[in-house]
Amino acid sequence: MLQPAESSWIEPLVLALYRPTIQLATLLVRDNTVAQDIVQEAFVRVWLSPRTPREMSTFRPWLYRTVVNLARDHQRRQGRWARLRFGRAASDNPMDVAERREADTALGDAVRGLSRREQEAVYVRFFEDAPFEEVGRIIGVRTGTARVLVHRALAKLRRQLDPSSGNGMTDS
Amino acid sequence: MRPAAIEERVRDYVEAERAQIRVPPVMASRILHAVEVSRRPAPRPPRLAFLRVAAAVAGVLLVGAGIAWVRTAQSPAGLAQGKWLPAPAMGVGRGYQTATSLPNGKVLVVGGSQTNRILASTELYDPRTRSWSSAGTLTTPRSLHTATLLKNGKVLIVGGSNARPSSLGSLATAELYDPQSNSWTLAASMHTPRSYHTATLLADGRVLVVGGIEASNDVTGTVLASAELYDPLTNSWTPAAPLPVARARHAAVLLADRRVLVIGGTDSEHLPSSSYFPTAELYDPASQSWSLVASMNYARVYATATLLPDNRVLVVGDDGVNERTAEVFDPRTNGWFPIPDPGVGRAEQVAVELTNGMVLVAGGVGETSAQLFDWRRNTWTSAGALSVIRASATATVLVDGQVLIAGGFGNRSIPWASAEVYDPHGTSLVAARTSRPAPTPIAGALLFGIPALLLGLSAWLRRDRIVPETWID
Repeated sequence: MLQPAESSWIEPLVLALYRPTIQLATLLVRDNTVAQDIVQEAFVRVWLSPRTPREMSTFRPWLYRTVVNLARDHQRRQGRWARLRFGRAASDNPMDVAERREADTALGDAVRGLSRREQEAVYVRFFEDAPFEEVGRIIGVRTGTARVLVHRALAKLRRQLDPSSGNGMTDS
Repeated sequence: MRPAAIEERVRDYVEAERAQIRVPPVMASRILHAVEVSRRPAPRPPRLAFLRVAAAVAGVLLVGAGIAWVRTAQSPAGLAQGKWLPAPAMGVGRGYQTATSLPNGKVLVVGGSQTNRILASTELYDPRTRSWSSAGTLTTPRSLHTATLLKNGKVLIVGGSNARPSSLGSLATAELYDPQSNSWTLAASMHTPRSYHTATLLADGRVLVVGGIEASNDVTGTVLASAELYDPLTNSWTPAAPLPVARARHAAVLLADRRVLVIGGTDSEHLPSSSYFPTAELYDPASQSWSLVASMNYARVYATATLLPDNRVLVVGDDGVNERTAEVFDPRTNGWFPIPDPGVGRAEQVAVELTNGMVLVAGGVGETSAQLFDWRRNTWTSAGALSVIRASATATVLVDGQVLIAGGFGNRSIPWASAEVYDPHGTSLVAARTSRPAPTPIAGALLFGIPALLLGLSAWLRRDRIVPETWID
């Protein structure tokens, strides 16, 4: 284990955040194994960086942003974002999975059809109900741009899943 | 499907996907081990650090030059009208600022937002000397305000926010700029604090301020239906007839028949919202009343409304939904006229009528492209592109017919200080660039080979920073 003097501050952060961070990375790269490597690399990078904040409230978006950047690097290297399929672990109840998969297939396909930036914005926004200011910080854009990206993505999804809804937002 | 419904469905989807992702508990110890075996790199000798930075900078510059050369040399000729020219940068970066063309030909830029602060500073651009100078300081920093050139030559600055950038906190105060003395004085305050409102100069010289958000803090606010009239002769505000429906983030424009057209917006203080308006209303100063006209074909927030030479109104853009569409209001029929879609999605763009009657629409969130709307033919043509992405910038027609585009946000939260000028009478930008010779294979090899060599050298110099033990399979 780590020496208390040199790394006591990061150990509780790793224990608290490794699980959600791997889940976020898996959503972004759609490959659980790659996501685990990305998260490991992210923790090492933030540990090595003298600029890393040590408070949980600021460390978490800092770590998430590192993960988003590493996921982008991976996707650029692979050059196959659109072709990647989501390799997920089996559930305890295959029937539940089958039913839910049927319901979510259309939405999942539609989400995968969004642009990379829109997917990042949607996943970060709804992963932990992050406010737009934090979404912007994590994906590296300003708050207004994050808001437009999410809004644009939702409008695309709505049009794709329910063509009869049209373009207008007058049905409130 | 309601907008709120898709949001809930996506939220459920993301939660379900997340719940299915298995995270082995051993990952915690694997990560901690990787952290343990990594070590903070020792400080590098200064000489190597300098070489690395120099190599990286040279590489980036050469790659950029190579890409620019190849792109411009391969661009088709004659696609864009007009010419884009660099302009001197402002003193500070600004977004959500205002820019007003003064009677003396200068442009007054006021306030605006930076990443974490609101600006009180103002600047003057002189097109004759192509330079910026200070125009003094506002009494109150403000962003998301309005600026209106009065008939007496002064500029009225109204309301806005002085809380955090993009937040709701609103101001009731107003300030006046006198170009002759280059000085600021406080004007009478509005009855209601407001930001995200509109201000329109009426034909009789008064200013109609409509709607907006009233907020005493940066979190909660009330969308306003109220309207107020400023009279420069008495320096006083009087209540105007309220809007039938509260609106903020709408657009307003004075028509040739002296009425004011107000379009779109939302009654929600926060975005995104499921309540965006396609509706439009007309204020008639003669009867001091509002009347509902035909609704637009699309709901819009943050749209632009520009008066055309034939007295119709061009409406473009939206914040995220109907951004690829445009439509035209005809005051003779009080109806909406379908026009071809511009084909480019725009939010927080700029739109301005040129001296030849064409409308220049440029930039927006994630956009550098610019287009011209021809009101005679109801057609769109390319006007080239801005040098950078600019959202919430300003566009001001100069006395010589050129257009000054200043500030605005790129994709990052730091706003630009830079500015550029569009010359509608200039040689086609794209055609001018095609006069350069096409790059030869040798030139291409040099342009890309040298940077590649330098980047490779940089990577070699950095090789000892890689810690193989940190990547465990």
